[in-house]
Amino acid sequence: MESSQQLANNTTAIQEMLSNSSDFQTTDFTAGGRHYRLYYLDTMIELAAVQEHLISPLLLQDNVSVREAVSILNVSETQLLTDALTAIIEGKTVVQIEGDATLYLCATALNKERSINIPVNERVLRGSNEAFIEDLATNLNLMRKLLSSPGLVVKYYELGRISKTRVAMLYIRNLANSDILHEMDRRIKSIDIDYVEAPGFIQELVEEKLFSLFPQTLITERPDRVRSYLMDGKIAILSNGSPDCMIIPITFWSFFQSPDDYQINWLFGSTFRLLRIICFIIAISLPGAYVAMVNFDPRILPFEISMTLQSSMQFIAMPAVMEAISMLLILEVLREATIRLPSPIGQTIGVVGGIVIGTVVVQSNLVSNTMVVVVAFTGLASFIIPSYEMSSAARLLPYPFILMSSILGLFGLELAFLFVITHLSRLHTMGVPYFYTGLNGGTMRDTLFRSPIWRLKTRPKESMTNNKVRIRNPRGWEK
Amino acid sequence: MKRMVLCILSLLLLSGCWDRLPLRDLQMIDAVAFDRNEETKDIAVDLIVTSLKRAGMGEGEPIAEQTELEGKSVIEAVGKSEYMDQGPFSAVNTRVFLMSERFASDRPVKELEFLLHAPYTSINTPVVIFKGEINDLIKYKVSNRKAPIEKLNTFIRSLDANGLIQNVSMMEFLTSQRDSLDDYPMPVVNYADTKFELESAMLYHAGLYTGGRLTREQLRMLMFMIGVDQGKQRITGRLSESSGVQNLTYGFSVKSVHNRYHAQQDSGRLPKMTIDVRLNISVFDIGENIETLKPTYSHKMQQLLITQFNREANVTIQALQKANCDALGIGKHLRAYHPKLWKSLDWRNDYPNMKIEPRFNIHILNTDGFEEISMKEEQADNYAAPLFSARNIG
Amino acid sequence: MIHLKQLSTQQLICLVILTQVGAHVLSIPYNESRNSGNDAWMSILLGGLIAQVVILIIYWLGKRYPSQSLPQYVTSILGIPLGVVLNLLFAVYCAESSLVVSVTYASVIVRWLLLTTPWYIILGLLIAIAAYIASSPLRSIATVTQSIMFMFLVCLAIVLISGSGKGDMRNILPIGTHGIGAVFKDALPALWLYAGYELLLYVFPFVRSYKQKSIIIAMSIANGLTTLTYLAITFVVTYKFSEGQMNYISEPMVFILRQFNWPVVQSLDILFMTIWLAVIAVTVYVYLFLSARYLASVLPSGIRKHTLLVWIIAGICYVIGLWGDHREKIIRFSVYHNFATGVMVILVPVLLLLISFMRGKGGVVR
Repeated sequence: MESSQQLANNTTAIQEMLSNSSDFQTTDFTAGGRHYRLYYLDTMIELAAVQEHLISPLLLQDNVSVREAVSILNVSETQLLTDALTAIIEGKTVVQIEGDATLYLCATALNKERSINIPVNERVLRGSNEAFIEDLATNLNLMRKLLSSPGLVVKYYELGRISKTRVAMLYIRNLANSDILHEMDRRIKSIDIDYVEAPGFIQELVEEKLFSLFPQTLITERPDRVRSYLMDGKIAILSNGSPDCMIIPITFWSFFQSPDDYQINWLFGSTFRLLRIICFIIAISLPGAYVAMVNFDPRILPFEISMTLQSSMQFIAMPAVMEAISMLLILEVLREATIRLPSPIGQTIGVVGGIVIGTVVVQSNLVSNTMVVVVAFTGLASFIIPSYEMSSAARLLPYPFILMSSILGLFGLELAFLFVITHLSRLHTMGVPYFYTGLNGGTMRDTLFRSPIWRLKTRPKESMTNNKVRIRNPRGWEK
Repeated sequence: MKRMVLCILSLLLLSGCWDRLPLRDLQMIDAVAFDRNEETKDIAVDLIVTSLKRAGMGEGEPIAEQTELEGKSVIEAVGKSEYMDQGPFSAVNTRVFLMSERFASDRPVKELEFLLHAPYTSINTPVVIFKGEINDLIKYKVSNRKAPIEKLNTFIRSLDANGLIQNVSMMEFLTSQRDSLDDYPMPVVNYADTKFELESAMLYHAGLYTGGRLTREQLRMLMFMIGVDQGKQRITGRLSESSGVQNLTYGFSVKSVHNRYHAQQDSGRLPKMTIDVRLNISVFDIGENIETLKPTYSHKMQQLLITQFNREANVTIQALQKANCDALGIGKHLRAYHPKLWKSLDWRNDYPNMKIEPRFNIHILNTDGFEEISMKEEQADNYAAPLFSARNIG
Repeated sequence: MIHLKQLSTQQLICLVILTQVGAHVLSIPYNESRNSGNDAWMSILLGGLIAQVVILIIYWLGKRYPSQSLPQYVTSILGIPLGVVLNLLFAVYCAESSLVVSVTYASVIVRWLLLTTPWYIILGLLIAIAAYIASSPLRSIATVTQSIMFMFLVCLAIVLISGSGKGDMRNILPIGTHGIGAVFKDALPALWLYAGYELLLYVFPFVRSYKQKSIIIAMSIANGLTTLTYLAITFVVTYKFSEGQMNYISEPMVFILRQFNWPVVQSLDILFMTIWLAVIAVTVYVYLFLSARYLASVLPSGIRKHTLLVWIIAGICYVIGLWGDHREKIIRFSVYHNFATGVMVILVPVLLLLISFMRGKGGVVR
């Protein structure tokens, strides 16, 4: 819609387009014989910038055009009211001179953000303690500071018809695979929804297998992790309003990596990583294996152990399956409850709940001792996984395993395992396989173990980059 | 695809669960005892079921119950347990099988063969011949440290660990019927006054009792000749009068045993077997002079021990040959290493007539230094064979 | 889109080993010791060598048509009608193979593991999981197979640990007293142990390799490792049981596994049979996959959807397998199946190679 030369017409038009919001303001002043009017949302502008850099120079100088007078970085002109509308919503101030239909859009947006803090969910012992915040510009600032390379490409998208959230895709030119880039680009551009609560929405809209428990993208809030994945040739997606960054394409083993693996001795790093993977397997299968052994195949246990187990289960009211499932559910309830409670009470309830429930439930002969031990260990083992999404998968997977073991014993457990492994093998993100095993050096180097840095000479195969070599002369001082 | 999964899952969930063997309801049989009645030749099977009462916090009070089943054969007797109120019996965790002497001497394998193919049986546990009352085994006073069944299990395992006898598992016992060269002694354990004791060994050939027995000393010699590792066992005894030394006791622990069989052509059709046994021992009692075990004295003692053991081993071999039980494994040796010779022998008839000679070689390891000889001789004699020295006769 | 359709040589090795090793592991070397007694290991070694020769023949055949797999080039060797018939025969043979393997193992489970569970449930679950895996693309199948390789190694470790302990080395001696004739006679049942390498006929063009020679090296390594596995098992059984006892026990491995005795677990035959299920499943799903691929090359391109074919074949196998719960029927059928294996796996590649030589490479189809 064209702007008119009359200020009053424009004002009413814009006011109507903004649905008569009360924070739409106009200010008039005269200077140098001209009547200026400023249109803005008073909640969005930065007062100091408007006063000093917009009003002040216009008041002081006359007979110069707005462009020459105003000392604002981003000034553009338009004749369309729709552009002005978008600019006002973004926080720009629109200047119009009475009698002239040109609208000058000056960038004076106010950014209120929280300061950069310690990451909430991904704490490490060694390593940087900066985390992303909700503002996209600050996040990109952090990334640019960490990767001061001209090859780091930032591409903006605007998603969401109403929310118009800005989303940025980062990758390093020459490292990221161009096919994957095209595909990602195509998928993001084809998203057509009303609003985006990134990156959860984007994740679901972009990933391929819809009904899988396993996460197919990695979410992180640490810039140093994003940097390491970008250097591997992966793509990162940041969006406005969320401190989480989504990394794609990702494989199964990346969920067990933690930044502090790389800061400490590689032997320790390897041990801890191996521990995490073993704990994942334990967290999924231990309750099922226990139920199978106790219900179906006590022959596997030597006499002394089975006697002890038997005596601890002698007077228990519930069958083993019900015990296992109910204890796991109680553990889930405890976990969710401690997240929602306000912090002073939260910790106390967690401790009290755990101890009280654990002890009392055993003493009242509802659940046996060993079952509490098994469930507690399962819970602990699932906490050790660094990624929240993967540990959620590890919290849900024991249930079908328990059901299968309670029907068919160890045979059922084995079938469930095969099913999960096959499901993992069938997942792929844009052609990159999700799950791979292999005994050759290329794949084992950074998955089960953490090889020393001077060994990691090529980039992992899964990112399919064009540029494989990443370390050329790591220990050059050695003769 | 999802529909398939749902179909399959519903197939499972609609039906029940079949093979449940819940641990909670299991009667775990700790020991099974077989006995044969003198007159009626009926079988009595005793099942001892152990469970723990009030387990937790590091404690537990074991309770043992006994059930006696009778029948014309073992299978029928065990079958009667189906009708009893304490089912399901489960022999999956049986720790020991006990046979009475009467049962063990009258074709035991034929009665027990079904165990090989029965599901849910634990057949890798030792079989032991038990002299004593089964009822005594289940009596447990709280003042005792361990229940008798526990003591029995520990005792049987220690017999094997210390090389007193090689435990025969039920599977070996049952499969020995098919191999005509499978001969072995089985331990006879006596239970009196809450103490267990290895009394003797009954000799078996291919699962049948040969009628012969070995005393404890003969059993020990047999274990040496087979080359069984002696673990922590301490061998003690007294030299017999015929060695010419009075009142000499010996005590040692065996570090290692090495044995070798030699077959040589002898006059006549049968070969002559020599069994070389080398014992490396650590002595702690050898009569006098144990404070400083000088080499010359220790050599003398070695000779005395060698003659003593050779004599005892001969007695053992005679007992074995008389019972026609090849517990030494000579037949297996001949079959493996001398196949042509083996084909010419009729082992069942030839074995009692063979000449088998044991040759012990005892080496005391913890001799104390060497005698006072000059430095030069010392260096020269460092690795030479030690001699009797006229200078120091103990 | 990046589609990785190619197998690496390591995945090929895993596939071949796990397809070759099957349900017979529990009864080795009963069938191979009928004539040769304690020299059964020689029969097994001989079987492995013969298998190696056939692998060389198949490799030769594949090398003549390096970018096509068997369903495609068989028409250029034999002509279209015979080629279609041969493809169909292969499809039927593979389906039948997977059926026999799953029925054999299901009967092992029913006899030792889950005694009262109905037959149709066990067989159904086994075939269902195999069909689910077989309906995945080849790359996923290779990944699953590599994961199952770990389980296979665990099983081997269990076998070796159970096998050490009490036993008699003298059971293996004297060597060679049974005569060459007996060894050869027993090598025949040993051949069926090695069936599984015929997947190279189909898979040849999909293997990603730097040199073509690495394919034959990989196959030989796989066959060698399988032979080693069987030899190890034979040695363990001979160590534990003497010849007379072996005549009497038809599934010696089960008894040996029961001897495993650690403080925390014991009697691992149950655990072994459960983990071995995965290895069996490899055989079943590889054959199902191959059968569906051969069938897909025969049918007109309208009905070619791979998943559908796999599930149809699996369903047919399941229905036929429902009649298989008598052990006697299984044994009788497997006699016939062994004969079919001999023909399809050994004779057919040899004939194809000969005919291909006679026609010259890429011969004209008349």
